[in-house]
Amino acid sequence: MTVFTLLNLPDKALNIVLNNLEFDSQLGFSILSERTKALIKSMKIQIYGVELRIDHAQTSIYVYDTPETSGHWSFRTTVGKQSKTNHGDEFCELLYCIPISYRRIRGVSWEKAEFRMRDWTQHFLEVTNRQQFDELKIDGSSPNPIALYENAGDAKTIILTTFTYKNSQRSFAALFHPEVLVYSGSFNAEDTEICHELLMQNFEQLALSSVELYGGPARMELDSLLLINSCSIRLNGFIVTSKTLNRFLKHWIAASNPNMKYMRVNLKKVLSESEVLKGIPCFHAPDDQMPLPRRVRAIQKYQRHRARGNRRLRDSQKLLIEVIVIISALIFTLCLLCYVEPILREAHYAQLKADMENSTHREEP
Amino acid sequence: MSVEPEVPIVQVEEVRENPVLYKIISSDNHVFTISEHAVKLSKTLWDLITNLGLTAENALDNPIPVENVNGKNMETIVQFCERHKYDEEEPEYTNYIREFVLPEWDRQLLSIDNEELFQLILATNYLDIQKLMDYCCRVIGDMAKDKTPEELRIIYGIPTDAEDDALERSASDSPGPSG
Repeated sequence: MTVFTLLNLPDKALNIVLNNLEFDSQLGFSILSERTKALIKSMKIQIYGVELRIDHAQTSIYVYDTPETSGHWSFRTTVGKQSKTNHGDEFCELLYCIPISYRRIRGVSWEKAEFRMRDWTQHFLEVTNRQQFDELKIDGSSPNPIALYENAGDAKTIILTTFTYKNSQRSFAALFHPEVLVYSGSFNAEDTEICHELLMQNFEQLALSSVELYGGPARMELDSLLLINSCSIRLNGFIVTSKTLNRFLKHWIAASNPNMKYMRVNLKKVLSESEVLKGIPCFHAPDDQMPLPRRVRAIQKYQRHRARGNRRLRDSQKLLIEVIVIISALIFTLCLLCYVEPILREAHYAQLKADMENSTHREEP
Repeated sequence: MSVEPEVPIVQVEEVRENPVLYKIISSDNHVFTISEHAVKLSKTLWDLITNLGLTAENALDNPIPVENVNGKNMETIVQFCERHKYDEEEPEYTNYIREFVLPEWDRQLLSIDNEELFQLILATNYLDIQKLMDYCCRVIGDMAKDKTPEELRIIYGIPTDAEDDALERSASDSPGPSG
């Protein structure tokens, strides 16, 4: 069969052919030459997200066609026979792309010998018309931040672990300026400085998780909470007492943290909603005004399980109930864990009901 | 207009339900009969018919010469248009294009050599038949399925950057029409 000279087609036909290609093929086509790259770039492909993930032995680019479907390009960690890692100054050189489309079981190997990591990352960003990655996730490795920045650039969202950040704390904070930072660590005594530094920075969103794997859960005291400078903060897995939270909310109302508009606290320990909100003029967010009225859904789900007498649930299984309250123009979400274990479950449900009734009364002037 | 063809008229499909028929002459003097509903799929031909003021009465006496399309491609085009003349109008291709399934009849019709397919697309582009263009382009797009970039280079004959540069240099070095 003769070659189909695609680039000799009239512009209209060429455009339709390129639109007909699967997403993987469009990207594959784009790496063939500068001309094919320009053609794909001019299509302004609508991409949901482009992510770069780095672990100790692998670098991957995830391109999300839609929120649910992604192509996944993994990069091998060897150059020739030499093994490479993602630690320190070493960096996985990108020799192969293995796109794994949701439509296929087996990936197809791509090769571009002259391409290194910077070429690949820049190429993906260019053809998807992006200035930077939507997400950069570093897990289980601590690449040299300068080398990482040179190869990957900045990102809107950065997801880090203690392991990454501790080893490159200063340079990392100086180089990267994400809108959203998600950080998982121990936050024990020796990490207090890191914790405070992160809390003081002004991110659009900051999510901190105290993870057992890294030595958590850690305590979060009032002094630390008062340092929060981000617009939105999510705290997961910390130990915070009802009293501390209550005092912080009162400070917050008094404008102690002027940049902070949203707070979400997800604790290990079951707290009493009434204790946390004691003396605070607030009301439960109406379902129709909140994007995620999970509280109601969670309670309904809980009731369904109860009605069915569903015994398949393990006793240790917990149900997360979000209490979303509005304090003036501020939104506070407290995630309460409801245990399935019968005694705790009944007690907690009774407490929730009482809290709901109390909160209804609080709405009255 | 009165062109007396020397080759026999090709009846691609008998049209009983629509009495209005038009004659088209390809670049190699093959004559085709096509129904009004079918010819409307070609924006170029329908504009021509409208501008020439052809009617049910004089249509068959005034064959339309199409200089840019040979008989082989015209036969495929007439077959396609007769097949799809009563199809419902489809939305613009840009958003749905990857979703539609190419019908088996059309896949068979378009199972032709790459060079023939290329020429058919040029003819389709000239005659402005959107549906046939979409279908041809789907066939070409399907060639890329599960292929590596280097395989795509071979299938689509994509030159490397060095080859593109060399072509550009030779084009600029060669004397122009006035030189």
